[in-house]
Amino acid sequence: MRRVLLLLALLVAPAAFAQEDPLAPARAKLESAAFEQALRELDAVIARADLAPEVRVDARVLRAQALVALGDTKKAEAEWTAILEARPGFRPEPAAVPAKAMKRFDAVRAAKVGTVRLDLDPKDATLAVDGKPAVLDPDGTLSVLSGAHTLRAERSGFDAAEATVAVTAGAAVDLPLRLSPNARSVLVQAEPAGAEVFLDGQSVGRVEVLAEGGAPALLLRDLPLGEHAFEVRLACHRTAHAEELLNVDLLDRAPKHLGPFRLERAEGTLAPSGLDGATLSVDGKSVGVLPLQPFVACAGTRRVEVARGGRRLWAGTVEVHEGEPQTLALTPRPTLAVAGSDPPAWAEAWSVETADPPPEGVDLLWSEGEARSPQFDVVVTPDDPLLSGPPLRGKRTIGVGLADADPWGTARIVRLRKDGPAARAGVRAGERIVAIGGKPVRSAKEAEATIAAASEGALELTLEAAAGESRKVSVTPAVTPLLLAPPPNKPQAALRLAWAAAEAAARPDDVAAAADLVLALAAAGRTQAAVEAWRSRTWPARAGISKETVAYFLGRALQATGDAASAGKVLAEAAASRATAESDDGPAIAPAAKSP
Amino acid sequence: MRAVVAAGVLACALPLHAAAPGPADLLARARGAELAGKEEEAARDATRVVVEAPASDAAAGAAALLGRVRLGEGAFGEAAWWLERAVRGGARDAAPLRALAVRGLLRAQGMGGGWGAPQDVAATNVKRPAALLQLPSGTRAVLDGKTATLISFAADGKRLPTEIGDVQAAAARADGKLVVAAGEQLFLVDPERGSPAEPLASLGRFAPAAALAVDAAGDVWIADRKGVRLGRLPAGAPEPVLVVESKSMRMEALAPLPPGRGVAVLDTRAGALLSVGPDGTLHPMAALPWGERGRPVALASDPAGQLAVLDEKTGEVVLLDGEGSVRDRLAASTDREAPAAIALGRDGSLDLVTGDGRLRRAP
Repeated sequence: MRRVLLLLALLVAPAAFAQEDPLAPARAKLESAAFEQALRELDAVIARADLAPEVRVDARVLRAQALVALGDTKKAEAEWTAILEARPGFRPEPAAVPAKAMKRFDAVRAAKVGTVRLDLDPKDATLAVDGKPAVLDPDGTLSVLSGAHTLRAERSGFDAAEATVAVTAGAAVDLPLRLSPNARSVLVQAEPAGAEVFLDGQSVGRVEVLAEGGAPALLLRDLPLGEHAFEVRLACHRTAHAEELLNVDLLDRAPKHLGPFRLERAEGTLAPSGLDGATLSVDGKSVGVLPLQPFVACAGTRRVEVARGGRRLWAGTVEVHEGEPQTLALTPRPTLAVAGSDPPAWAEAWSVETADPPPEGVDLLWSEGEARSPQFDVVVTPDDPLLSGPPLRGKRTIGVGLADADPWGTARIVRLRKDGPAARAGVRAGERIVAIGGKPVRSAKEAEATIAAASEGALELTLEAAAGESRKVSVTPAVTPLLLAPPPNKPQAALRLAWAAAEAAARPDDVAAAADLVLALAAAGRTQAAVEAWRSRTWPARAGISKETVAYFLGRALQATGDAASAGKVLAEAAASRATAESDDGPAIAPAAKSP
Repeated sequence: MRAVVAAGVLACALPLHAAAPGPADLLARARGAELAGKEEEAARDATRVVVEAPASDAAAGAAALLGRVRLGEGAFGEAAWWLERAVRGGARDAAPLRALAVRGLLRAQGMGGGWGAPQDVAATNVKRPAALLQLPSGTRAVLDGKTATLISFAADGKRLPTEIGDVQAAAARADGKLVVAAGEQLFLVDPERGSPAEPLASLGRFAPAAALAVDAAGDVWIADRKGVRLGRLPAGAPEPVLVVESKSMRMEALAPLPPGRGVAVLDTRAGALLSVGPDGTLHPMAALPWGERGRPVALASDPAGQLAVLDEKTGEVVLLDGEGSVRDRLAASTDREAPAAIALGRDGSLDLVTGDGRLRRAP
């Protein structure tokens, strides 16, 4: 009775999956010691044609248990024989089978099953006997039916091994089965933790601290033999490279160690200029409010953005070179939102966003081959020349006008603004500029461009008064406001208006930017609006681009609106002035103001 | 404030009340004023073109006009600056004037800009050079005083097949044609294309002519053989009208002055230079630097209003500005080198034909 109770206890555990288990009713009967009924249940299950072979074997195991419990060892032997045919490694649970019955089982097994003592290397290789998966017995041997069998062992990183063995029932046979390695594991060590490892150009993971006190590492298992390229990358650090030839070391199966790579920081200096008052951020992190002293940034491609009042004024990628100070001249760019297609080539000159919906403050939308300004409700064709790049804004000047004149030399100073930087430095009309900052200039245009783009500080001019006589003069350029040439046609006028609005928003204190916006209004045919805008602020009294310059354009706008009397007054003011157009070195406005 | 501008003004787009003249209209108006000698008016409109439409095609033409006006005023630096703008804007024909302006500036600043040593261009085989003309293309025409034949040479010195006979005097026009006096007529000839001479007008009482000049407005000025009468043939007129008559003068050579200023007249009897305006007003320009020692025989001018005068006795050429100041001199080193006829190029270079018939150029 005690033995029966023990058997019942063993049968309770599988009851958890009774609902899906076709053997569940039989198990229930066994639990309640209704062995005969259990046998009937099991007979019915075993007779089912649709039963899976494994379940059928399980049914036979239960049946053998029931028969042993009923004392019918002879029938149990028949079941054991059938079970061993399918599962040569089968052994009844010793605690549930009386010793006498177990002896009967051992006799049945000894007549049918032999043992293979496998010397398997590596131990964790997977086994198959005659093509079917097999597992080792708990004692590390393999039970098989008597007869000839083919054993196959496989493991990643090794070539598969196969052997045929003849097994005698009740006897044991020794079989060595050693697999040859065909791969090598690599342990990449690198600092700091988090560095990303690339194998042959593909990311394969990041190094992490695997053991306390150990160096960060990444284990790459069973890499194919041969040459491999390893890279360890981490933002703001120099990338480590290694070429490694992986081969098999039969004596040392341990992973090959690579490294440790100690990644050094890689940084450059960015020196931004322009867009004062706006906030500059690098890779989404705020650096500060412009103007900023040169600051250190991680080497590599960085995303720089400059925004003011929630409106992005400039955005772009900047290549930061290690150790090299790099100037970042910031001028406002209209933001171009791209929807539905790739950005057009000309979009490189703009700040491009691909967000959907477009972010606030977008000046242009590019969608399916067409640019549109939502602010000003204009459509711009992609071949518009203005789209090839932003207009030049502001420039440095030394107050000279230059001309080329073969054979009288190039970059000859033909005009010298009184009290201009060059005149104050003693430069004379008639001299020619042969070099700027030691760099030869070959034309008036080149000299003007070099001066216009000069950075802050003095410029060294090499001047030639007559052939062979040269001297050097130091001149500190001033910055002149720069008015943009009016756009030549209506679509460009609309785009210019969008641009000028972005500029004016970006440079609230810039007189030229304000003037450009009003000029753009006038060019777009919005003359009344231009008149009101000219009058809506106080323009500075200064030489060059000044309030009289504004008076001129106001006068022309008033003429266009039909207010001849007011136009006459302001044009007379311009006609009596020494104000200029374009820049402080541009044409005098006075003669133009006298034109009826 | 800017937000007010951007948001407030965009809403109200009013129609234009008056059609403002466009850049092309303004430039046309400026050119008309320039030809009429109204330089100030021309400069106003041209400046307006540059100020209001600096990127337009008209702006280059306007800059060239402003360069010409400033050249005529002797404001060389300002002229060079405008002409540089004109060249950059695509007005290539402004380049020679720009060179002229720059060398004028250099001369004024005492930094050189003078003529270089003359170089041979061609052997004309002309026995008695009486006049030398230069066309805008660089073609030169030499009048042989002995045979009354006008012979032309391309810019590279190659002789052109065109040969015009019975010529008393000739002058170059801005369009590349020559006005020649032959018999009792004025003709228009094209030495580069060799087309038949086209009758222009009768010489009337100015026949036979001793000297011709075509001014910036296209009017032809004629001095008669005795040099006592000066006439002007306005474009389209059947014959010249008398402008000056003086028996105390001997008007032997003429040269055009900048727009609106008429012509320069070489009075060899007084050894002086005069200017005669379109309305006939006569102004002394300069006393020639040789005084009674010299014998001036030839006169040439450039677009800046500078005048080159050749003295037959000394074989010297002097360049004078509009005020009569000597800007440059070119002296012949030998009699053989002495010029007999001169012309000024648009870039200020000096062309000359020596007594032995060599066409030379002093750059």
